[in-house]
Amino acid sequence: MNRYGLYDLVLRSDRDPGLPEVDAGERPGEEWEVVWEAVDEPHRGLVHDVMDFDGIRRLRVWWPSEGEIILFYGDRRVRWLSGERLLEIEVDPDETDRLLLGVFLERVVAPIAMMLERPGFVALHASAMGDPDGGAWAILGHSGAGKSTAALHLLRQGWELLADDLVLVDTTTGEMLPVAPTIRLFDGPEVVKEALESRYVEAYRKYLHRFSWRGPWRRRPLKGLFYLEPGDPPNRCEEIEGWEAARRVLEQAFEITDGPEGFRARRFSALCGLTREVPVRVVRYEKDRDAEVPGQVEAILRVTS
Amino acid sequence: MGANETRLKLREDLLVEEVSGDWIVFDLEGGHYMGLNETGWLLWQRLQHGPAKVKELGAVLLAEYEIEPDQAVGDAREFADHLVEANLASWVEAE
Repeated sequence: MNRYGLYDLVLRSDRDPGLPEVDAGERPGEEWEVVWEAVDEPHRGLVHDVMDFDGIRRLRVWWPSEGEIILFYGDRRVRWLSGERLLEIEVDPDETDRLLLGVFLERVVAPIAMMLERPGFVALHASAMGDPDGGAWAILGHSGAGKSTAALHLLRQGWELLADDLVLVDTTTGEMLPVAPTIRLFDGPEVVKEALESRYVEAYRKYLHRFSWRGPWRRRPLKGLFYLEPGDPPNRCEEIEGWEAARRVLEQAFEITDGPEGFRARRFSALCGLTREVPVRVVRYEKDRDAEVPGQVEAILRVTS
Repeated sequence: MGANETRLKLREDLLVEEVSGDWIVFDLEGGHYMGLNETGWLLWQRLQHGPAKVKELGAVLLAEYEIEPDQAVGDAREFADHLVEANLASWVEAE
């Protein structure tokens, strides 16, 4: 039975779930057991249902009862039982791509499950980076806005990769939870020399790049949000507030379409509170693939230095 | 719809939060958000007390800002139409 790290959890499993192994003394964490068995589709409690443009259901989330969360993502199925500290995982027996499974657990299952069961937690569609002073910055924007590109360039500037794609924030403390050592980019694997492993993800025409780096598992204070808006020059970065800030944060927050009474209201309140407490800046920049330092990274470094 | 004798009625299941001087409305049912500025919030507060005619909303603006009566009613009507279009309010017959 090996031990694997996932957020502040330690998973015990006799099969490799595609997550980094941790030594017994390396870091304490809540111990969970992973069992590999069939996960049935529940009859009730569907709270999130995403249909892709091609009509294929991408992500389905059920929340049938307190402490039980079920996620389907393609052929992968996971049942999260927090009371028993148990993770049931069903994958296609022919599936051997552990990188993709680990990424699914790390970037989809864990943030969504934790967001659903922990009051005050919100999940943002963003990349997150740790600055050299110990603070965290979230980079938000639509798909293709340049979030992961910014994360990669900041990584090369000595920043730490905390999360990519889905960022978990504890709004009760204003802290960000670090997680992912992977970045998803449109670029080919040859572009990211620092990556340990790269994999083409057909459904999204993107590549996953896994890095060896995995920093300390401590939370970091969230110091600011950058919202990327690529377009025409002039390049500029400005702080926004009120509705202009709130609408950008709300539209990039993971939302459930149904759920227990009061949950969505609490989530809305938490997101508005986050927008009040943390500076939000919009970064307008021209995309230039040949630039040594992309425009959005220059703007972020200017603000944070 | 929207004649002077009908009243604008807000839905009762909407959530509102203040963020740095703006007010954010969350329509749980539709899953939509809308922002209100200071003027919008003034009219919203009036509507929270109960349905109001457009001319009553115009009077709220007239009491707060130095504008002509026609402009006040026009602005109030525009705001009311916007709320109805967004399915946040509806016209009801005046009692």
